Amino acid sequence: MRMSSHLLTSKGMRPVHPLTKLYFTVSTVVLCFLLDVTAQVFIACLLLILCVLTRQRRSIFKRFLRYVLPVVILVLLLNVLIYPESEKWISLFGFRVNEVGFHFGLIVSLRLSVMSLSLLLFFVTTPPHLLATAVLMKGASPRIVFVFLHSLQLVTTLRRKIGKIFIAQASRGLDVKGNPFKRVKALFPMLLPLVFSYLSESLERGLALELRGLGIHGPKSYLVELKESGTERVANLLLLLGTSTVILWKLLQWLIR
Amino acid sequence: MNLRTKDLHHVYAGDIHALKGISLTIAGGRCVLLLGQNGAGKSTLLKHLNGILKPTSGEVLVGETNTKLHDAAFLAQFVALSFQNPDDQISSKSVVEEAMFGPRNLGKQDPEALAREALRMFSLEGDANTHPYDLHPSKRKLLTIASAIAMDTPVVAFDEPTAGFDVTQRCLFGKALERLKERGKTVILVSHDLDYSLQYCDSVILMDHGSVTFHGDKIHLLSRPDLREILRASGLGLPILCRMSKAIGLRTAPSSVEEFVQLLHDNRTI
Amino acid sequence: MAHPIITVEDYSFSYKASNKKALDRLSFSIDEFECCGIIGPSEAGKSTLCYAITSVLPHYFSGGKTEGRVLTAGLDALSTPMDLMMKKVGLLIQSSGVFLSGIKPTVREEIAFSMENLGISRTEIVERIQSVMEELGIESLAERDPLTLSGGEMQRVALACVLALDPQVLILDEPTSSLDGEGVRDLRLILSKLKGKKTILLVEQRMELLPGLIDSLLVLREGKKVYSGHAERFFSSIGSLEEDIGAPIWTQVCYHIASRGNRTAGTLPYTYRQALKALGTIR
Repeated sequence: MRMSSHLLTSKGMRPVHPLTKLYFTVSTVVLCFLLDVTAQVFIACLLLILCVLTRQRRSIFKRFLRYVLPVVILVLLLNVLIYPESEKWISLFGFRVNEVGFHFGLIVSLRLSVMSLSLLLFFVTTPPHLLATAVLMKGASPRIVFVFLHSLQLVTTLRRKIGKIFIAQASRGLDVKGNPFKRVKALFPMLLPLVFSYLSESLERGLALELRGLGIHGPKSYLVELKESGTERVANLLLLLGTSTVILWKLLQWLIR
Repeated sequence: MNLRTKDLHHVYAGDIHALKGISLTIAGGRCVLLLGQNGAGKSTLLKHLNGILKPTSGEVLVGETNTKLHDAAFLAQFVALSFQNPDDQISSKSVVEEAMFGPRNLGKQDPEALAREALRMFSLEGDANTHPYDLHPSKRKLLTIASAIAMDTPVVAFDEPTAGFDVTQRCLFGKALERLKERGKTVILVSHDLDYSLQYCDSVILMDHGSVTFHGDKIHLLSRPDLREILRASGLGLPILCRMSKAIGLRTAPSSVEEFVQLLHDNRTI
Repeated sequence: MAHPIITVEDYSFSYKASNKKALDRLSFSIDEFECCGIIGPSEAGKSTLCYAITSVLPHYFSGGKTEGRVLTAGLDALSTPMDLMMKKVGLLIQSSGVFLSGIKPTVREEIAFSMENLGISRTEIVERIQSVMEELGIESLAERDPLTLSGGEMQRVALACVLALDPQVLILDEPTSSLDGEGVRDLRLILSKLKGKKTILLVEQRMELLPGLIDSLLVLREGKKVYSGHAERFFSSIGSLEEDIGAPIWTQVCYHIASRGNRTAGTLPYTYRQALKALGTIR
């Protein structure tokens, strides 16, 4: 799956530097958490505009509907139904619901939605290997970056492996059907080869990575060119300063209280 | 036990037509060599024989049992399949336990005896209590082959069994094949190593892009005038002994070194 | 005048927690631009030797017992850090699937991986990638995801990754074990093109590949040297043929013919052509 981090701007297609996007995402999540509803709505509108501008908008909205919306609705319902009793009641779609609970639920749901949207926008539009390169350029440890990228593939790799293991073990008469006890028993001959073979392969993989210089200290070079433009540098600085200011401001407010 | 397929089609997700109407009968007690390029459908066909895969259309009969009606765990009592990567199945802490896994699942009366006998065939009885991962990778491969044989099924199939083996290990495997034949088992061998495998098989199935281009006795294949072409279509070269026998003008193509030497001897005495 | 590029002097190695010596007082040398075949039964120490020459042993398998010396391209393989050794010797391990990093989205970036780690300049990386892809005929794979390649394609990419560093010595550990007929033919072609330009060490089980490709032979058994020297001399003497080591099929045929005639001395054919000639005269 090849993802693109291109933004459709009036200037034409231009990829935004992964680190700028990372700072932006972290900032929006932090600000969304710390600030009030007005700010959250503003951030939400900004995010929606950005989502619409990207090439992957359909993917983002699809994932939002499939994964985030059910959680948000659940949170809202829980708050409406379970919030501690209070005096005021309102009528909602013919049901008598707790007013405070409803308002609180809305606030939490909004916050959750905006944070999720920001994270989705980031992860769907940023190829992990580009983010990894960006982070390496800033001096991150190559070994840690490798582990991060490798773990992303892990789920697909392990799923494929379990498929092969299942075939091999079923061919030796392993029965995976029957009562729950039998099924649990059948898990061991499925999981043990997974663990054994993964560990064994990891030794060889570690060796291959050393042979390819992963552990070398010293300056690295990069085939993929990632350059931070002036605008992006300014944006990074503003985001960093702005978010830090808000954090400090909130901290002070809390201390004074 | 014989195996039959009737107009077997298999289509993978994504419209990949891996098997295009295969109809063949593998007679019981024979050793069959299944040849073909990567992607020809060999592994797909093997997986149909023990019910891992079900036909998209057509049917597969193991003896009188239709594979569509049973799952792989049931059909394993008839067909033992040994796969390429030993690390996909090792789940026990000792070699002998690993070899007992199959016979135990099949409810055999004395799984340990079957396991130890199979281990003896591959000189692994000395490592019976070793952890499989303490063995050299090629010995682990021998272990998975032994594990399949320990299941004592009427049909045994091996997918690339000798990859990475040294001379002694190939010899052990060859001897095991002869023992299986003596016991009347049906053996199916998938191998790229033509020079090695031809010695042990009786018949050959040649596959190309999902279809069978040849199915018959080894002798009939080797005596075909278009042998080079038909093998090339499956990405294979002429077996070395065939090339040699053609070059020195022997009339029949031998499939083993011993056969070659015997033919030469017979030719001389005529 | 050829001079030794690899020298192994009285070298022994045991892995940690093992009483058995994986390599036992090995001594031999390989000249520059020589193509040496390394053969022997399973667990003879062939892979261990490859690790020793590439500086892997002391660094990656720590805790093992080492004796003796190994010199590779003028560097002490037992103490040189791997980043220096990488530029001199390239090792292609048996499993190409594991060799590829698995974190690069395209073959092009995969080949760049080692060079990036070494800090080679970007312009040079681009140049080397292009030249190595042309050399191995894998330009069509440049934008493919390495994880979707077939076995033979993966191996060619792995070889490209190694050759991109332009090492003086190339070591291949059983490269044909998972290849089909076509893959073996392609590999042999690539190796014959590299012959004479690099020092090549080829660990192999398929004896038929060796004649015409290798100049010298190193035979190991249980960590000890059985033979080192001219390849033809090993296979052509009836007395030196060993059951557990094997020989090309044509050599085996003539060996059996000789044994039938109760001949225990004499020469056996090493190449296919020699075998045909010998068989022609036998008839």
